[in-house]
Parts: sequence; structure tokens; C-alpha cells
Amino acid sequence: MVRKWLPVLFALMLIAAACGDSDDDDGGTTETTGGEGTTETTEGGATDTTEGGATDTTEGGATDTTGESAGPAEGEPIRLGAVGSQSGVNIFPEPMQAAQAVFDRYNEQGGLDGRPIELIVEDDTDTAEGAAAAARRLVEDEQVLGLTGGGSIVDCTTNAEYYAQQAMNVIPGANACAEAPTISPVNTGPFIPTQHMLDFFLHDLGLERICFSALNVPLNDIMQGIIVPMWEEANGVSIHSYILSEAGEDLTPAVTKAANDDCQAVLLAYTEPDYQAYFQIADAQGLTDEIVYGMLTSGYSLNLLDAAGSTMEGAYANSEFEPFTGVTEDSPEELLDFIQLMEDTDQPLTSFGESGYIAANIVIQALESIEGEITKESVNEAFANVVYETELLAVPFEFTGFAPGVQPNLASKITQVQGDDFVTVTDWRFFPLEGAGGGAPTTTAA
Amino acid sequence: MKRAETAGAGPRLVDAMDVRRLALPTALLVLAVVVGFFAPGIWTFVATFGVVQALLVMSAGMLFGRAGLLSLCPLGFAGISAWVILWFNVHLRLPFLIMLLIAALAAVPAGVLVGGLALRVRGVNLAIATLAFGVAVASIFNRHPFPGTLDAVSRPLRPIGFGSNRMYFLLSVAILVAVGLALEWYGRRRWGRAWRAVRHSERATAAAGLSVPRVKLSACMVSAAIAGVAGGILAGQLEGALDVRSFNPILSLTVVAAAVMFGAQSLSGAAAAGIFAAIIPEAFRRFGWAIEYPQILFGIGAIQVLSQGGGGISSTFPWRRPVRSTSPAPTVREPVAAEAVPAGKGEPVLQISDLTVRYGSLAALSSVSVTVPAGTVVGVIGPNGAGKTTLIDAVCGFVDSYSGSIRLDGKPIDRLGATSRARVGLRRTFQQGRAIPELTVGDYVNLFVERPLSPAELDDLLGYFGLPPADEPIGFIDVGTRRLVEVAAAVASRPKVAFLDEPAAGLGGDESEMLARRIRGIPARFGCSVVMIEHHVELVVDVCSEVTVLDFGIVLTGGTPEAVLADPKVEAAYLGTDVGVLDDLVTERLAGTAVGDAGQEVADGRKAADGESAAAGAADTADEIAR
Amino acid sequence: MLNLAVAGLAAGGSYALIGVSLVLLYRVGAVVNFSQTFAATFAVFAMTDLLDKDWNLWTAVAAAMAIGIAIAAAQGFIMARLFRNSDVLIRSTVAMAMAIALFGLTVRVFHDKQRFFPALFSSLSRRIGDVLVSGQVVVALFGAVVLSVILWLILSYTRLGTILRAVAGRPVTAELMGVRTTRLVVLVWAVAGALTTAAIILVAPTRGSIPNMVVLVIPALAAAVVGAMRSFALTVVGGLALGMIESMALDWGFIGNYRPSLSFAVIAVVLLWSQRKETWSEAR
Repeated sequence: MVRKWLPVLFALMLIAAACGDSDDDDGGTTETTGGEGTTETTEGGATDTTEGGATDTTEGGATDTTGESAGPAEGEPIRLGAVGSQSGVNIFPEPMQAAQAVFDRYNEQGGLDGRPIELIVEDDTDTAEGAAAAARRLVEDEQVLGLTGGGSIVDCTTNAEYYAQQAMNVIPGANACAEAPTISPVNTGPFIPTQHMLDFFLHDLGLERICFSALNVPLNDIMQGIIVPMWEEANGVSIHSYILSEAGEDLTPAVTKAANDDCQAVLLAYTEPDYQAYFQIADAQGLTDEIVYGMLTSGYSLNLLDAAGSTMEGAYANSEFEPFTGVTEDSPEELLDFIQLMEDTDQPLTSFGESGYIAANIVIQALESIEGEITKESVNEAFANVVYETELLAVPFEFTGFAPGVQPNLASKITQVQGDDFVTVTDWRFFPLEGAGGGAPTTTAA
Repeated sequence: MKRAETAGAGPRLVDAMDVRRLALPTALLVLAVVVGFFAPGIWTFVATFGVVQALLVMSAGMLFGRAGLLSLCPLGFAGISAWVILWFNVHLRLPFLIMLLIAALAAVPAGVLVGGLALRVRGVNLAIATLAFGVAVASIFNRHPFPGTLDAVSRPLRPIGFGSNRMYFLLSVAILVAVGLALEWYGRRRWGRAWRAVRHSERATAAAGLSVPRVKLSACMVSAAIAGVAGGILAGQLEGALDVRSFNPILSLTVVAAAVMFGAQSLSGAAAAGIFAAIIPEAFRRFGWAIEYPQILFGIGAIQVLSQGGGGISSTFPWRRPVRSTSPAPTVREPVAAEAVPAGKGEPVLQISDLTVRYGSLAALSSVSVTVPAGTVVGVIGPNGAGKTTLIDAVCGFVDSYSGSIRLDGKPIDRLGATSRARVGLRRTFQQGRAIPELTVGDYVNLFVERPLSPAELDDLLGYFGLPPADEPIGFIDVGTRRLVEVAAAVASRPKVAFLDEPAAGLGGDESEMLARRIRGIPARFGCSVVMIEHHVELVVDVCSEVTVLDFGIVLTGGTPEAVLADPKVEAAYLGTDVGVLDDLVTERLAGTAVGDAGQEVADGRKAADGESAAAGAADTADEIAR
Repeated sequence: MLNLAVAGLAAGGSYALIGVSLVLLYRVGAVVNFSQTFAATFAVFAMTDLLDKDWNLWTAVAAAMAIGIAIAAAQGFIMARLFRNSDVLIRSTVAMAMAIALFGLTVRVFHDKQRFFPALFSSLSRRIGDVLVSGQVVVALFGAVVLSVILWLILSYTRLGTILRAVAGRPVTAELMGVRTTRLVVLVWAVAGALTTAAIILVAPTRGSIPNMVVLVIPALAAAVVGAMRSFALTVVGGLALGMIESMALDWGFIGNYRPSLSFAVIAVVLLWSQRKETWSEAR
């Protein structure tokens, strides 16, 4: 009997869907609470910490250049889009959520000339098809003016060409790809952190038998094929051993092989869940006392540390942005603001969240620099020309696009797990990619 | 569609079938044009993914629905083609359709691999093996990323003029329809219909002179090619920006479940699946519901549909339902040689010498020797378990090994396999009926001949045996008549010897008599000898010029039917010690009186014997359970 | 080499344990349960939610077992009622559909943040060579061996086992003899569900995410194939062997790059060998 009604049910759904409006959902982003409480803390410590013409817009009402008094923006929304992986295997909800929090607060304080920024998030379901559909929905259906704040592995590789065709200059929070002229993420993926960590092992810790243990993903082709050999040549050493794990595989063999092969240091290029598993095994084997482990930026997460507990003791993690752990009153204002904002909106502190936060601020500055009408063209032009200085980054952010050797953010800091926190152990390290990359970068132990 | 190819159908029916066959593809094209030009752009973009899904579902659906092979790696095939088409796009750009064709062909070797597995690995074992194969293929893509995906060089893949989402969608629908029509076309050829035969019974397929390996391989190769087309279209859809996760083996589970649920043996089921795949997730998304809800709904829906049994959703479509024939029944023809039992003439056509078949330590046949003269009907009788069917199995090549020799027309055929023996002229029917219900009578008969019979020839053949018209689906025919269809099919190719295994089972008295006349006339009409296993004693007496009696795998005796039946050894073998009934029968026969009453008695005796064995079987089962 | 082989026991233990459940369900339920690991994954993730709410560890484990058993029993109920007369291929396709639905459900409910999977039985860790075999792995290995013996004994030598085999072979006849097939089928699914949930709980700390857990069904199927879908002992052997081979392959250079293909290689070799004489699909 149910079977008879199934077609009717489906038919009704079809009709309803066809009649559905196109100006719809945020695709399932969790609503972040833009609280009133946020304005106070930012105003309290707010000073202009940036140079050049750009004003630090996180201060909201204090240095309000719009001329309006603080009050929720109610004008015509400025519609921006974000492509993010919210469902599927590798999810990155943090960049969008953090960006949303920034925009919410900005809107609370009056927005841009009274116009709120509306962030429309499309879920790419962590598949190429989903990413392609999400991008097209945003650009063609929703007709957003610009794209920002997203977090996804597939977005860049799938949509690079599409964005270029559509003249969209995208500033995602976190993306990883090989080459994309019109995409400039704040967090640029594993290539830079890898080299920094390798450098740290070799030059700072003096370890020579360095092993590379990674997930077998297509991007690894570039890692193992181009990036690492580049580093090897520049430094005159070679990686002691490569250990590739398949997605979904038990990591005990990988852990064991590193010990078997007599590694002094192991660079771990995995995702958060894998890190937890890896250290569980390594700690049980007693290897964390013998071998030095270094994680990429995905490992720099308090959530992970919470879950992994003491198994990660002594491990290093790379942070491309100003580390949000071990903060004191003397820490940069923006960092404190970021931490507070995340706390207020009930979000975990992660590097990916930080990337979304920075991306949102870049966008706000770019928008505010537009003279004249806010259109798709002017927005994307502003994105292309923005220069954003912040203490959260080692150098000002510029829209460079993505290519081997050309990336917006080339710097990192190294942190180490000590107790129940990450402690920053180096200052900003810079890495020129072409040619002379040999010498030890400038570094001071924190 | 030439009239000659529609065996046995009148002109009206030909036109109706033409229209029916083309109606769906045309409707799909029209729908595509409507969607393509009137729906918002994003719908056409998403709809193309539905086309890809439809092709994948068709690939799995035709392999399972037609050939009975459950293969869980359609995405593996698609991935190979996607890889190849991207390779060409990077290194050797050709027109899109050419590259698509090459890419689809590139998946075929993988189909050969699966087909090779399928020769020995069956059922769920094949499903597990192909699932693991899909995993292996995906892991290779991890190591060797799709060409051109890791750099930002812009390489247009879609053909010129079809670059926009709308036009590419229309192109992909056209390709889908073309593939569906091609599948339909091949499915009506002998080797396409052979897929259904293999699904039904591998032995029967070989007995028709069709090579089972070739049939299975062809099915797998076609399936791989269809999935390959899907992969190529996907590559164009994403403009070369493919990701290995699109070919995750777990997604193959969804494809196969959809294929079974929709009964996607042909275009209609596949298109239905594709439409659902395109619309449902998008509809959910518009409601603001997460992507997982369509997954859950699909799982539940599939379970629902599968619990209904039958051939899935598409088998409920009106045009897919089998239709009874409206053609006139073929004219019943009487055999030319009405009365005389044919006598043997000249050289023996088949010489079985010293045949011994062992299953382990049990000898099913021991030193059996039978000579079949040309142009005769020879009977083989004996109690249940005497080895009669084993004899046919051995002679026709269905036994792994035997000792002794078998000569056809003087030449030894011991080295030949079952299919080859069928081709050189040894045809057989089976004890359990093996006619294929999904085929029509004409289609089924045409499986057994190299060159399809013309409607006249078919009409002739069917009329000779008093069978329904050629376009009657076998599924509507009663069991007894189906066995006659098998007999007709066996002689259709004018073999040298036709082995009939209990052709009269399931026939009533009158029909048995008619069958007797027919079989008697087979040598004259079709030029072949007949070896007949039968329990209907009167049929044997009426039809055979000589009879061999088997018991416990040895030849008890041989000779004319009268002599054999008078032999006390034979009576003892059949009936234990009660010889009275057979005595009466032989007396009546010799006196030339009607067989009726004696036949009834013998039939009663047989039923009693059958009843015994059925009870014995039930007792065995009960024993097993109790143990 | 030895170290890597021992390291492979971790994965091998889970393959063996889940493989045994698969064989049990095939022999008694006449189905290849492609969804074997999916219900268990749901249960294990539910456990992490309870742990987040500060439930006692072992209570949460017990709750997870209960949930895994409940879902498996529900699956068995659907199979027994709706698919009593279907052939094994259709039932296996139904299992695929269940896998898809369960996967969607699990992702929807649980896939929002990184979760913490507790390591049980740490005190039972043993060192073999240079490698520490964690307590979970020890329990999994031990459990696989013991349970396969128990199941073999039950199926071969007890009345219950005979009845179960009758239900598998001739469900209608068994019904006519008064056997309550539905209950038995549900029972067997529940047992298989319990085994698999236990296995996933044990390996959860080293697996970490939903896809990593559900994908275990594939190597477990390979183990079951080694056991010819019949022999529990061979399934355990096959699972352990596969785990060890996969691990040792890390040192085998070129082959090490294609380790997921090893499951397929094992399956293909075993099946082609065991079926080499099966020229025809039917006996006669």
C-alpha cells in the first residue's frame, strides 16, 4: 500500500521543488550567535594596530569610518558566497562559521554604510560534483558579488577554471590545490607547512634521519614529486623513508615502519582524526619518547589535543597564523579578539577557524575600500587589489592566486604540545621557495 | 526494423512494436529539450549528473538484469574511462566524441577481467570480488591522479558548440538515448539474447551451441563500455576537474542497488533512475535538508521496492510488460511419414563405445555402448537413477571426464566441449525444463540456430509441433508445451542427433500421442536421428525402432521395443517382482489393440513409484533436520 | 619484517572478527551483509556522545553494544519478514540499500566534530618483538578465535545449530515443522551485530572517522572469502593473514603503493582456485 503512494509523494516533492525560490538557504550552516557582548571586549582593547591606509575593522564602532552610529545594518544586503565542505568525508565547517561570526558582528555594528554582509554558504559535500554545483549555484543562481570564507579540499581543484572564467577572485579561508590564478586562500594547504616542519627538524633540532608519513591522496603526488624534492635539493639531504597510508587504513603498520626504519623525526601529513589514531598507537608503543613527531597545520587544534590527551606530548605542530594558544595579555589584539569571538559564538579554536576569521576581515577591508557602486566587478577588483596587514600573519596578505612558488602566505610558526596546551617555540619563519632556500631562517625560541 | 527480423509477426504488430520501441527514447529527448531550454541553468547542470547516473545504472542493470551477473564495480569502469579521456585531452586532443569512444573502449579490458572472473566465480562471490576490484581501481587513481587535474592549464573538453551547460546536457541525453538504443539493438541479436540464456542456465546455453565464456565476456564488456561512457561524460561535465572520490567504491553500492530497484536492464529503467538521481537530492537541497536525507530515503525506498519482488520499478511500466501474442497459431502440420517406425539405414551416426563415468567412487555409467543408426529414433529407458541423463550429459559434453569413446559420423568427438559438440550436431533437451520465460517462442528457437529462421520457416517448425505462435512469450505457456518448445528448438538447427530427455513429461494422453507421431517423423523431416529418454512406455513402443535399457549404469539389454519389454530382466528392474502389468501391455501391443487402459495402468504404476520416491525424499529432509 | 607483520595483527584482528560475523550471517541468514559495519559504526559514535555527557566508560560501552545489537536485530527482522523467499543476491542487494541508509543516518547525526574514542583494555597490551600489541588488539584476536570455535561448535553439534542450518537451507520446511524462523533470523543478526559492534569498539581509537570504520567491511569480506563463506577457522586465518600482508607490503616498494589492491588479489586468487572446477553453474 505504501508503494502506491510513493510516486505521488515523489511527484509532490518535484512540484514543490520546482516552485521553490532560488533565494534560499544557507545550506545548513549552523547559526552562529552574533552576540551583543562582543562589541564591548573589542572596543576595550581596540587600537589601530595596522599600518598603511587600512583601518582595523574588527574594532567596530571605535574607528568607524562609515559615519553611521553603531546599530544593526538593515540596508540591502551585500551578498557573498562561500563554498565549504559541510558533509562528506573531509569536512571543514570552521572557516565558514568563523567568517559568519565576523560578518554577524560587523552587521550588528552597522555593516557597510548600513548594508549588512550576507554570507551564503553552499555545501560541496566533499565531492567534485558537489563543488562544481555549489560554485555554479552561487555564481549563477544566487548571483553573489564575491566568494570568500570557504573551507574545502575539492573547491580549488574543481572550480579553479570556472572561477577564472567567471572573473571571480576568491578569497577562501582554507583551500588546497596546485594551481589557481584566481583563488587566494588564507590557509594554503600543506605545501608550505611541510617545508617549514622539515626545516625545523633539520636546522633547529639537528635531526637528519627525517621520515615522511602521509595520506595517499592525489595532492601527495605534488608533495612527494615536487615539493619535497625541492626541499631536499636545497638542503642537501634526502628523506630517510616515505611511508604512505591509504585512507581508512589502520595506522599501526605506518607507526611501526617509522620505528623500524630508524627515523629520528617523522613529518605527519594527515588529517585530524588520523592524528588522534596515530598518536594513540605511537604512544602505546612508547615511540613518542624516542621519535620526534611533527604535524601540519591540521594538527594544530585544541579539539584534537583534548581528544588525544597525553599521547601527543612533545609533538610539534605547524601554525601558519599567529598561534592562538599560550596567549597572554601581551598577545596581539587581533588574536585576543579572535579568541574571544570564537568563545562568544561557541566555536572551537582551530587554525581553520582562524583562517576564516582572517578571510572575513580581508573582505571587509576590501569592501570598504570600494568607491562607488558595489557590484560584482568592483567587489572582485577590490579583492584582487587588497593588501591586508594583520598581526595574525607574518606578512600582509595580498591576492596572488595559487601556483607553485607563488602563494599568499609563506610563513609559519612552530608550536609544541606541552601539557594540555600548545606552546609556541619559534618566531615567524619565512621560506622563499625559489632557489636559495638553504640557510636557517630567522628564528628565536619563544 | 525489417519485417523479416520480427519473426512471425503480422504487419500491424510490426508497426505497433516499432512505435513502442521508439516512443520512450523520443519522449526522453523531448523532455530533455524542455528541461534544457526552460529550466534554470543550474537545473541543467545538475541534470547532467543524472544522465551520468543513468548510464552507470544501465551498466550495472543490464549486466544483472539480462545476464544475471552481479558486479559491484561500475564506478571502477567509469573511472578508467575518465582517466583515459583526460589523458587524451592533455596529450592528444581529438574531437570529443572520438575521445569518448576511445575512453569507453578503454574500459573494456577491465570488463574482460571481470568477465574472466565470472567464468568461474558466480553469484555473491562475484559481487564480493568486483567490489574489491573497484577498491583496487580507486587506489590506483590515488597514486596516479587524473591527468591535468593538478595544474591550472585550461583545457576545454566539451565539444565546440556544446560548451554551455544546456547544450552539454542535451548532448549527454542524446548520447544516453543512443547508448540505450544500441543496447536494445544488440539485445535483440542472437548473442544479446544469449545473455538471458546464461542467466537462466549455463548448460542450456551451451546446448544451444552458444559459447558460455563468450556470452559472459560480451556482457561484461558491454557493461564496462556503457559505464565508460558515463565516465567520459562526467569528465566533460566537470571540465576535466575530476576527483578520485567521485569513484569511491561505496558509491557503486548505490548504483547497483538503484539498478536492481529500478530494474534497469534497458533505457527506461536507467532513465527513471537517472531522473530520480538528478531531482531528489536537488529537491531536498532546496528544502534546506542535508544531503544525507536523500541517501536515507533511497535506502528505504530500495528496500521497499525490492520487497515487492519482480523485476524492479521498470517492469511495471506498461511497455515493458510481456504481451500475449495476437497472431494466428501456426498451422498444425501432420508428419509426412505417418505410421511406419523409421528403420535404420547405413552407417551409424553416433557410436558410443565403452562409456564409463565416475563420480568419485560411484560409477554412474559402466562400459555403456550404444549405437545410433542414421535416420532412426532410439529409446533409452530404465528406472530412476539408472544413468540415462548421465548418458546424455556425457555424450553432449557436460561431464568433466569419462572413459570410452564417442564417435559422430565415425569421427571421435571426445576432445570437444559441450558448446562445440552442440555445434557439430549434438543437440539435447533437459530433464528439468530450461525454456526461458522472458523470451518469445520465436526468439528462443532462434537462439539455437546460427542464421535466424525466416517467419515462414519458423511457422513451419512451430506448426509441426503444434506450438503457439512465434511472438508468444514463453512465460505464458504451460510447462508441458514449454518442453515441446525445447524439442522444436533442439531440432531447429537440423542437428545430427537430437537427445530428448523425457519430452512427454507433463503431457496428457492425446498430446502424448500427437508427440509420438511428431517424433517418429523427425528423422524424415529434419534429417536427424533421435535418442529419447522416456518413462511413457507406450510412447517408446510407438516411436522407437530400437531401445536400450539401462540400470545402475550398465546396459541391461537392447533391441526392438517388443523384445526388450518382454525381457524379464527389464520387468524386474522396473517393477521389482511384479511382472504382470508389463506382460499385459506387451500382449496388447502385439495384438494391436488400443493402448488406453494398459497405458493408464502403467501410468498408475509410475505414479505409485513416483509417490514413493517423493515420500522418500521428504523423509530424507526430515532426517537431516532431526540430525 | 616481523615487526610489520605483528603490526598488521591490529587490522587483521578486526578483519577476522567482522569476517566471522559475515560468515555466520551467510550460513544462517543466506545473505552477504554488505552493511555489516554500518550499524556498528553508528553505535560506536553514539557511544562517544554518551561519553561526552560524562557517562561511565563501561556503561557507555554496554549502551553501544545494545544499540548495535538493536539496529542489527531490526535489519534481521526486515530480512526475515520481507525477504523470506528471496534469493541470496536480492537479499545482498537489500543489505547494500541498508548500508546506504545507515551511512546517511550516521553521517547526519554524528559527523559534526572530531570525537574521542576510548582505548579499552590497555592493561592487556603485550609486546611481541619490538611491537606492542595493544590491549584492544589482543582482545580482538582472542575474541575472534574463541568465538569462531564457539560458533562452529554450536552450528555443528547442537540442536540449535541444526535448526539454524535448516532455516537457512529450507525456510519453508522449517516453518512447517514449527520452527519460528523470524525469531531465529533476528537472533542470528543480533549475534552478528554484537560481534561487529565489539570489533568496531575495539578498533575505533585507531580508525577515528565514519568512512574509516565502514570501509572495514571490504577486507572482512576478503577474509570471509578465504573461509569460503563457510569455515570460521579459515576466515580468522584469512583475516589475520590479510592484515599482516597489508602491513608487510609497506616494505615491498612498488607493491606497497597499491596496498588496497591486496584484498582484491586475495579474493581473486582464492576464488579462482576454489572454483576452478565449476564449469557449470548448475549441478545438472
